Amino acid sequence: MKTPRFKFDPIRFFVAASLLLAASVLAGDSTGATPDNPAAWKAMAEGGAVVELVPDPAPPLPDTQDTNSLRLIVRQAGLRFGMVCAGRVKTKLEAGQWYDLSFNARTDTRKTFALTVSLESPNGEKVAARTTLPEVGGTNRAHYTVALHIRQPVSKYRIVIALADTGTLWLDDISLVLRKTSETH
Amino acid sequence: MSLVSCSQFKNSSKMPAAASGGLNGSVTAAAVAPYVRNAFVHDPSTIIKCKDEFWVFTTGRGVPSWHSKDLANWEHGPSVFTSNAPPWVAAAVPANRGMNYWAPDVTYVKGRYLLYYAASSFGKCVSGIGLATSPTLDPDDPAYGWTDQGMVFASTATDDFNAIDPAIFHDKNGSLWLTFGSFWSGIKMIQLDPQTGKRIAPDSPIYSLAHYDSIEASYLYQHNGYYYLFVNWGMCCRGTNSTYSIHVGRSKKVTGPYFDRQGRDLLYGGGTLFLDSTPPYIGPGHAGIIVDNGTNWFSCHYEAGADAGGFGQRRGASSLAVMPLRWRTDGWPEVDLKPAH
Repeated sequence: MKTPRFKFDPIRFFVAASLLLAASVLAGDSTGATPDNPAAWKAMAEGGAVVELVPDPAPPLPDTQDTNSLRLIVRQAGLRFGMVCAGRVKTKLEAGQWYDLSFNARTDTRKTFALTVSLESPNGEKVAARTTLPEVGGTNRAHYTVALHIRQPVSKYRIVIALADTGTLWLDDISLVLRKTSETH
Repeated sequence: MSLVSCSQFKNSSKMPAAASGGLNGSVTAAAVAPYVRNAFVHDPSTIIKCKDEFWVFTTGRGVPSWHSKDLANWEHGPSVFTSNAPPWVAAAVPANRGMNYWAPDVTYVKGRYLLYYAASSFGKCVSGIGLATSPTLDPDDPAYGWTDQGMVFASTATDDFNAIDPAIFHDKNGSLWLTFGSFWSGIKMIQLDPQTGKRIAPDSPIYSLAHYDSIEASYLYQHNGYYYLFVNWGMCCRGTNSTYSIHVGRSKKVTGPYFDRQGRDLLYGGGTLFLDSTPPYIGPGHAGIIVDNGTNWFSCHYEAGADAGGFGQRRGASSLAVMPLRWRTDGWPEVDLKPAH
């Protein structure tokens, strides 16, 4: 049986997302720019990199209805490249805290990427936490969780997802959650 | 979790190797060729001598070994584990299959050889480092036999480090240390009890030594008042597409901070280039140093190392390299490829 599917309208999506983001900024409220909102993410290309970031109308997999995936295309590598979410500006990161950043990802081929997640000050000068996953991607959409241990407090921060190679990666369902309990090794 | 950072965590933007002040700019393929050996290994341990033979242990089923009388010509030796997997592996690392253990390292402490090995699975940080011991490495010695001592340290999916690539360091002051780590938040270190070879205390500090976006295969060496930390940058296991290169920093304290030749902290992405690919020898990795009869030797593997002329059918295979090493007048190490061995 064919499941009815939400029809993605890219123009309406962009307008709605832009209005939501603009309203959040005007209101001084960052809730509209949380990582699970594709509009909160922008391409990041430093040192000669060429990067595109586009919300993808195609569901990540044929059997899903989630149309919020982001297509990250790195056409040319540079010093640092990927995507950045600058929305959660009002949440302070305290040293010793643990955060978990989760997302789904896939590629069109078997290619995998080393992917680095950073929580850092808005200008990137102070890094509160940084973790690199060695292999993200593959044709099967997979769920990933990145543990982030805050070493240096920052009062405002951005989230950076950086790749180490050229290619295309689909990401969706990105979330950042403060871990409630810490474990002792 | 008691995770200790030796200094504040700052930005560590990716720096091209060429900008890091390489120590061996004149290394060529022709100079490297004589030192690529007929031991087809991946992730070699430090080379260690037992009686009149040198031994090296490598990634593979049961932890394979190779041995040599002259560091030049190598033969297969027995594996550490030949029948059953160590019991702790199934519980701590259920995804590990086929008794395939990674990147061992070995040392000799208080009358026995300590061999550390890792169990993991690709792309995951659910991993563990185990310890096996033997009174001798000579399989013809009646005392020969490996005894698994269980798990030394583990990482789980909720950690920000990966407990693989163990490297054992025996300080001249008698203390024993274990560095490890691959990707995630970089290279870590814990102190071990020289009596047991295990972690000195369950809640002892976990030191952060180095970080880079793609970093693993650490190795510590003590020389002339400094601790030298070698690490690998780049990606392994892709044959001629591997991007491994070896970088180094040093510190007056074993716990760091470690700085490269230009004064950059390895925890912030610093690391002086020590050895890079020289095609067709691609991807040097897993540093080790042994001193024999006054000669310093540097060991590593090349991800794609064997050449057609030297090893026939094994062209392109991951191969052991053993090269002369010298210490420069400024205190930094470099491979010394003259005269040929």
